[in-house]
Amino acid sequence: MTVKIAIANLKGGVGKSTTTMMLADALSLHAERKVLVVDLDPQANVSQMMLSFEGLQQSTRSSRTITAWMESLTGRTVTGAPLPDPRTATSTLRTHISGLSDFRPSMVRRTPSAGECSLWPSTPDLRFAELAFDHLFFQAGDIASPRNRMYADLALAFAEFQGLFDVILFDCPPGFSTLAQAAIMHSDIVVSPLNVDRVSMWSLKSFWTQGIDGYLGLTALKRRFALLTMVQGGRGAEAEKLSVRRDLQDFAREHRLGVEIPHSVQALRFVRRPATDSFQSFRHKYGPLVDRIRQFGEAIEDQIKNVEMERIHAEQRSAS
Amino acid sequence: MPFVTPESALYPMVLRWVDTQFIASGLIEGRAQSTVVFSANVSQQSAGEGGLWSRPDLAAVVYTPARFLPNWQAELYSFEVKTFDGVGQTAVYEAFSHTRFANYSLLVWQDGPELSRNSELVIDLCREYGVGALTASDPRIPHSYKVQVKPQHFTVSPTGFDSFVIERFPATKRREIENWLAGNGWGRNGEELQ
Repeated sequence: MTVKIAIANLKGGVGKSTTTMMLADALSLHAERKVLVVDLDPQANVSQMMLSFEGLQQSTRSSRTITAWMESLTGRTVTGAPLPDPRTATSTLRTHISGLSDFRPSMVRRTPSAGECSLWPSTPDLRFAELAFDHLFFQAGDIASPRNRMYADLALAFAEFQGLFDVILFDCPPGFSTLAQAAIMHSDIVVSPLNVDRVSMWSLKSFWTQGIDGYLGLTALKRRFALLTMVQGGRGAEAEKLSVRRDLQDFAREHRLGVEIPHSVQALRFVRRPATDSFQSFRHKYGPLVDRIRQFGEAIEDQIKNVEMERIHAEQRSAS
Repeated sequence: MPFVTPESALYPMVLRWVDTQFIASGLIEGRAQSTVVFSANVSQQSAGEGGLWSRPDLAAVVYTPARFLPNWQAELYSFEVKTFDGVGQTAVYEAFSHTRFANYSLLVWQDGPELSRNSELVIDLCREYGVGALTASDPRIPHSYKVQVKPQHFTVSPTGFDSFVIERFPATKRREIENWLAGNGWGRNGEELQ
């Protein structure tokens, strides 16, 4: 019973990848969830943060990336070379890659209930694989055809992942790519990070109303939450920031998360993983943000439990 | 969980375990986080020289870096997969015969949550022959696999290692391995394995 969460917003630079990493660490460590992070962003920020640059290179060389899986869907590599045998989605994953010292291989709690963190890494050429996919599966007169095809392909991949993960987190790219649309359609929960500025607010409104409700028709997707990030720092414009907060309160209401992330952890010294075999404790990695990130994880864990309970009730109803 | 049959239905399930849990199982020595695994279903590939029990069901080439070695270490793992009622003394001998070309040989089979008497006997025999024993209470779920016996290391010649990969691994997997080697500076100047 996997719960899927999209971390998505139209605007870039609002902290989507960092939020994804924080949530993956909080859920795997504190809630002992088996978490898979799916990096859908060709910028590969979360992949680099979780694997290190060297680790991401090794993943690319060994075809353990979402790009390699997408090549398999089109039957061609991003350079156009034919791919004779299909790859399974599972064979392109990186598992047990947490950089937290609690998950160091020699310390892994090997009980079935213990948490762990895995990654479906992205690479910059994911964009080209996605373009090839869009061209191959576009049907005249139906702009949704690549997205619907991608939705079905992702469903097959998730069927392969059955029993492996409790939570799947999608780190969506800015904008509204085919992969992002299909991932949001699969999601039970959407978390939209935003900064305290007018364009961020505009982007959130547009994403929720035009994107999720309008374009994707997911008006029933009620578990969507706005998360304010990088709320500290920057002087002046206090009146405008207050106005944005009021605007957010009016728009999101109960869909605004109570917890806020005060500043970008990317700016902290120790977030990036220097090497594949380097580990940090949760406290060391997040420094003064540990309590906020734990609270953020708890807020989302509550929502995950609600989704799980709803599914159990739905199964009981259908059985009776 | 019902017992899975036929044996071939277990292959993709065990392969999922190899792809996702193998590096954290304690079977691979060294730095698991940096380990690179290339797995394949090799049951359908023809065995060049033939011979008795010369074809394992699954195999994995495992590359592991070491801090004070100038190179990565390469090792070949073979997996002989058996159903609940297909495992027995002969299966251990079959897995042992794979140590002719694999550095580590494992026997994998489905068993209930509690080990059966037959499984206990097989595990004892695995220990005696240096064959690894891996059981799964629900083969669909990679977290239900349990290492009962760690396999012993066997020495394999570089040519034997190469021959196995060339003859048994599918073309895409071979290409992936070659690409990975080339990316690490050990390329064969574009020469394609036949």
